[in-house]
Amino acid sequence: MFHEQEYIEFLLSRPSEQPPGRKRKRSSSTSSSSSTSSSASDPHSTFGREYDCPPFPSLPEYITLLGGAALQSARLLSSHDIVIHWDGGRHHALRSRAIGYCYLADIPLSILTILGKFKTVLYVDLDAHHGDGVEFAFNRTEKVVTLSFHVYEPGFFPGTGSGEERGKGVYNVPLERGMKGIVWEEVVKRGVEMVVAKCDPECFVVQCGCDGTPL
Amino acid sequence: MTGRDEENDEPTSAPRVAYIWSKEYEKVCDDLPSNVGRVQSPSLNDTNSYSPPACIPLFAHMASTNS
Repeated sequence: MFHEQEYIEFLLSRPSEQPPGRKRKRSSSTSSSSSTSSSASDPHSTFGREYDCPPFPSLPEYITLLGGAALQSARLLSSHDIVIHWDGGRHHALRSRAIGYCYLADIPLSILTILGKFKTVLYVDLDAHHGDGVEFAFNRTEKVVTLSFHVYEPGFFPGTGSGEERGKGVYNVPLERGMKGIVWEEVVKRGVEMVVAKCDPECFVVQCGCDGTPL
Repeated sequence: MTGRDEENDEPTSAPRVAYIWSKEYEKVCDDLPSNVGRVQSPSLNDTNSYSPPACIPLFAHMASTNS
C-alpha cells in the first residue's frame, strides 16, 4: 500500500459520513503542502480536498476504478509486453494529500506492484507539468528512476523540477514553454537514452500527459 | 519483455498489448474537476473513429458493488 490508510478511508467516504473539523496530526509527506495552520483541523484541507481537488459525488467510485486499474495494469505485465492504462497518470498525488487534480497516486501503486518482478524501473514523465508526486515517492531508492520533462517557469504548476533536485535516481529536464515538437522529441530522445545508459532499466513506465496542457 | 522466439531469436509476432478502459469510467469522468467545462475529446465519443483493440472490460463488477 502506498497511501495512508486514513487518507484512503476519507477519499472513499461519502460527504455525509465525514466529520467536520476532525483533529489530525499531519504526516511528514504533507509537510511540503501550502496549507495554513488554521485549516489543519479540517480534513478536507489536511488531505488536500480543496482548490483543484474538491470532493465530488462519484469520487469514491472514481478512486475505486482508478486504483483497481493501476493494480491490474501492473498485473497484466505478466502476460503482455505493453499495457496502456487510458485514465492513468495522476502524477501529483502524495501519500496522504490530493493535489493538482490528482486524488490517487495510481503510478506509484502500479510501480510498487511490479517492483517484485523487475529489478529497476524507469519512470518517464512527458506531461507538461513536473511529475513531483512520483518523484517524491521514489527519490530514496535507486530501484525506481524518475525522469521528467516539463515546463519550468515562474507561476507554472507545481513549481518544482528545476533540475537541481537531490535524490537517488532523480532526473529532471526543465523546458521553456512553446518548444517546437521536433526539438522536444530530440530532447526527450537524448534524455531517455542518457538515463537508460546509466540505470539499465528492465521496465518502463511512461506518463504521456493526461491533462491536455500543451508545452 | 519482447515477443521473440527463444530458439532462433527472430521476431515472431507483434508485442502483446493490453488496454485498460471501462465504461464505468465514463460515468464518473464528467464529474472530475479537471474535466468540468472541458469539451470531451470527439475520439472518445465517436464510436466510428475510436475502437481500441482488445479493450479489457475490467471493472464492471467493481462499479456494481460500489454504486
